[in-house]
Amino acid sequence: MEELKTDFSAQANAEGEGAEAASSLSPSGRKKKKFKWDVNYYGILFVIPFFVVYAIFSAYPMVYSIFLSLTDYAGYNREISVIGFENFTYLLDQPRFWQAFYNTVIMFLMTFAPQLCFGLIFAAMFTSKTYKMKLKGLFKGVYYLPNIITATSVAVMFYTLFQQSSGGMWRVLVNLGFIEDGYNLYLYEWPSRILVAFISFWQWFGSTMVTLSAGILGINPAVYEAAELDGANQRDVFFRITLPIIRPIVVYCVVTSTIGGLQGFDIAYLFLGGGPSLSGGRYATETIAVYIYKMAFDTGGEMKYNVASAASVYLFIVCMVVSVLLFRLTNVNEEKQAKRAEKRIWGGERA
Amino acid sequence: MNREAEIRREARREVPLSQRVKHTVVQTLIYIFCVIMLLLCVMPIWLLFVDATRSTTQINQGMSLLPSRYFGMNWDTLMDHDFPIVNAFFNSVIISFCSTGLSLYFSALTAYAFVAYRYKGQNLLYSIILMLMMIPGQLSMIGFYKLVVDMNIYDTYIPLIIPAIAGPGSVFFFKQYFNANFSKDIVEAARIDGAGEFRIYNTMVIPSIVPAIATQAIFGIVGSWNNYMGPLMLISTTEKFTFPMIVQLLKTDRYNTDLGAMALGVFMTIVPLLVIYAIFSRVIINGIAIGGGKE
Repeated sequence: MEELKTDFSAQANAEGEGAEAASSLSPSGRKKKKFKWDVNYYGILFVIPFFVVYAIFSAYPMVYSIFLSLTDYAGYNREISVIGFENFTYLLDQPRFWQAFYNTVIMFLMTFAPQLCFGLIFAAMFTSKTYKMKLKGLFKGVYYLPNIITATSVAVMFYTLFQQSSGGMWRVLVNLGFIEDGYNLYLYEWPSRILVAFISFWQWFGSTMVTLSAGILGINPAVYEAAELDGANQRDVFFRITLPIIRPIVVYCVVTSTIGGLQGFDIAYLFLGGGPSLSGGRYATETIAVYIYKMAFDTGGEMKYNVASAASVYLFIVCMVVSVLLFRLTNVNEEKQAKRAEKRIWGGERA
Repeated sequence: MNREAEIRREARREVPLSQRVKHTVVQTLIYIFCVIMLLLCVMPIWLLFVDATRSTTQINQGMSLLPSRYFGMNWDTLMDHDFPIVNAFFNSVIISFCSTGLSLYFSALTAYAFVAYRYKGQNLLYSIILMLMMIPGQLSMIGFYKLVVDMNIYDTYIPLIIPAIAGPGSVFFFKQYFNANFSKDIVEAARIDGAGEFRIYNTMVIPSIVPAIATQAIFGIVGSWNNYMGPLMLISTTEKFTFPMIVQLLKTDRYNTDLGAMALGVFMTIVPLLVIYAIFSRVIINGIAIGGGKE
């Protein structure tokens, strides 16, 4: 606590505000003899609950998971002993783990590519100045609706709708000639995977669209007016102005969707429970998260907490690498600075 | 400037016919596209509702767009099989309201601490919170489970409620809100009047951020309501099941033989959210704009 005072004045000045508070504080900071309660210490007091609870219920479990991944803790084993990286090498030998990894990535791509495309198209349409749309609010509201519904309900809803012979959507597919009568979509690798991806798309497309259109609406109208004066056409405006300006938001969407997609559980777990099964103990729609859950908790499972923890460490590493890469690739820092500058200049007018 | 505007207005008036036709055609196509997407979003829910009012025989005969008259019968079937929907509803209400209440109070407090006070290491602490947002929840899953078992709070709601105090996402949200709306003057005036810091927070700051709290409350309640993996891992007694958890019961043999009842069960689990959305859709959509759009 004592140390905190010393650099205080510099900090406050750097922030450009609270200079008054700084001057009242700095003498006590220099003396450094007697501890004097300062009103700013409430700032520390107020963040304590957050960090204490986080430490107990998130940070400690994380460290504990990492520890467990290095042990032989499985089943009702009471004696835990460290066995090194055995679980990690064990996982690398498991075709089922690799398959789960592949499923996660492929189903994420099948979800996210259309999600981003449609999100951008609809966001562009809803914010277009040339084609002023009516009923925008209604469309947006309905597109976002699926996102609010419980994922488990969504999964079971689609399960009933695509069920062989009784499902309404299944009947539509048969009538349209996409599948033969009596064909069970849930028994085949790609149909079930496509369905899981479709359900995720159905749930998340609206969210992407709303986020992106909020970004476009936040662009200073003066930019568009200038472009219009210069005689830029629709396509140029979209690709050369809109897209570059909202790039940080696109990156935000990509990163959050990627991290969310890599952790996909609810839909994959409740739609087909990871099935159908493939050769070699692999499963067609089993994601990493489903794999982790099944390894540890599924009834009749082996309760391999150590293997599950190791898999979660792998998942964590992948998530970190992907998000760092994405941020690097897109130079989000640079963009942020540009945006901040834009805010400083236009701040008053934009609001 | 005025002249230029006039020229533009002139130009717009004299758009050639072919271009105007093109404009209309494109606009029509856009509307068609939008309506198709609209149907795609609504149809599955509508079909589910229709199935909830039909008998198993009818469902097996094929799809229908119009409701039938077996709603009551399906409901009776569900109740005869002890579908714990009422119980689960109240369980979910307790969990989501308690956890959201805690989350709102403490997240806003944490965010407030970052804007209202200045101390060394503050920026570092805030960057740590931002970083925590990136960590996938699965990493702590097994350790969390073990912790809960060791603390003897397995099969209780404590591990589903208390951790809500530390939500990096909502801290970020409130910080954004404070950045735009917080004014130090009122707080300083209150200090001169001799109000304590906790009192200032409780009686002045909280009432001043009601719009942000309302938005975040809806997100918190919906998020907690929809949480599946946590309760699935930590709750084992059927009486304590939450709303998303009872959905999985519908896929078991006890219910999945009666398709109408099953559809009704799934539909019932959607209804509370449809109601919430019907009331708050505007708040929700604007909330996303604040959370994601404006970094």
